[in-house]
Amino acid sequence: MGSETKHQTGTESALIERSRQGDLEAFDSLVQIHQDRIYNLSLRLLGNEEDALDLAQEAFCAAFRKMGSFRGEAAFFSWLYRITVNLAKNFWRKSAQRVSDRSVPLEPANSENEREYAPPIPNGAPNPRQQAAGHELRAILDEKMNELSFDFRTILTLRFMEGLSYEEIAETLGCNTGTVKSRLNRARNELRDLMEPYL
Amino acid sequence: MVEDEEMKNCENIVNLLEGYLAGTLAEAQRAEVESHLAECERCRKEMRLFDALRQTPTVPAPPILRRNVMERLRAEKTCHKVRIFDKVLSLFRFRFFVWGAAAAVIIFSVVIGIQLLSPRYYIGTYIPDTYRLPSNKQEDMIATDRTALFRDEARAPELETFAERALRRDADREAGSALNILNRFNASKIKQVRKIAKPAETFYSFEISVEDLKRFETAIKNTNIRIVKQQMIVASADSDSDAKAHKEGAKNLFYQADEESNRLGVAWKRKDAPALLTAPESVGARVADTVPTLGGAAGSLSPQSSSNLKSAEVQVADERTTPIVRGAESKSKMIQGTPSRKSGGDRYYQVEIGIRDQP
Repeated sequence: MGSETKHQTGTESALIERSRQGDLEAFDSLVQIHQDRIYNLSLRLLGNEEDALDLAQEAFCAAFRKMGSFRGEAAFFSWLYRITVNLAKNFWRKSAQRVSDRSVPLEPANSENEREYAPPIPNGAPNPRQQAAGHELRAILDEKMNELSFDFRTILTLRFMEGLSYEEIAETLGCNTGTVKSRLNRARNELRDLMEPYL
Repeated sequence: MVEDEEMKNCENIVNLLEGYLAGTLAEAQRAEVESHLAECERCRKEMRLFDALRQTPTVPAPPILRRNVMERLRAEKTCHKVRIFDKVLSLFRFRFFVWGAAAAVIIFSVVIGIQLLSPRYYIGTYIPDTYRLPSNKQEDMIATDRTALFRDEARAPELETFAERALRRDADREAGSALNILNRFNASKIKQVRKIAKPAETFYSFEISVEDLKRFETAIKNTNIRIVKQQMIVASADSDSDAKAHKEGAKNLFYQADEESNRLGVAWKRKDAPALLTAPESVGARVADTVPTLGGAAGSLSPQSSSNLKSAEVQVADERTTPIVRGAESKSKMIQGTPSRKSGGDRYYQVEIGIRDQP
């Protein structure tokens, strides 16, 4: 209990303890506290609302099932993040598979229409429609984030979007802070290269 | 060297950019960053990237998220309880199954054991001792019942066994032969049928009564019949009571089946001779018809004289009818042979003949 109070408030610690005993009402309160963060993390990791909702649901359900294994060594939200990230990897794989399935051309690229539906050229100029929207950089960033590897996207999300410290990221990803820093550096460099034409 | 220095400087600035954008830098650091950004296009791009990353909007979770989570968890909790219940139940079911199977095996073994060990049961069909096939084939007696010559409907259910059906089939066939002989030689008795199985031959044995033995012996030459045993009997010389009985028999004693009575409980009623004399044939026919149903030997019941019927001999093999018929049997003995005897004893031969299975 002592370690729990180090990371959680007294109310949250009590809710966690009750949830560990199988109290669904207590867990409902924990969901209420953390649902926005978990949903947004899911949204940023997967890039679409439908998958994000599924991932967040899965993450909370998995958390309840694993409540017995939560010992309070880390913050509860780090623990939730860790579950979410681990599940997200599977979601991302399936999602990538779906995208890959969808992108298989049914006919040879010899018609006029084919050019219209061709995927955007990575190093091409920004879409004029996106530029006109006013949030073009943000939109392009979302698009380019999806081109990164899952690990890079995750670490950039945790650091810059979720605002986690190196230590918290290390806790979430189950690695040390040195790994976090180096991976973060590489991820940022890759993203910068992708974003270079739009910055 | 100048480029390396610039790169190092840029790295320092990039590391400060987060703090710069968050507004957490000290004044000196903020000024340093701003002056660098004014000159360095690369770091300005870096800053715009940081800024774009930080500007990621946060959206509230849709209400359905929490609702779905709680619904799923509640359902899972119920399922979990059901699963535990099912596990316990299946454990019990498994145990019941094991115990049930064990009990079934034990019961089955006991039943089979009883079947195998009991001498009175053969494939679940009761065979009375009288009809069980003995293991000794030197002289197998498969029927000692005189009524085996005739269809015994009263005992049919009891005798319906494989062995008995075979016996009856053979007995009927051989009985036909025997009755032909009896008719030819006026032999009036068939006491028993035996099947004698020897290594060289199998034959059926009948005990019959023959008055003229020599004529009989001549008749059976070149047939499948041979005499196994013979014994001369002098009936009338047995006792004074027989002689007395003859007289009583002459005094109108006879027995008649009461057809309205219960089959086994048939009462044999004494009637006076005049009534019999008025319709001798019909009475004789009724007696002859009735006795086989009692297990009696009808062959010995035929009226000894159709024109002067005064007696009928009744032999009943079925012990259940004996108490009723015993009196009749003794009476019939008393008047045995009356029509043919005027006085003195009657001499005849008790002959056991054998009829070979294969002529």
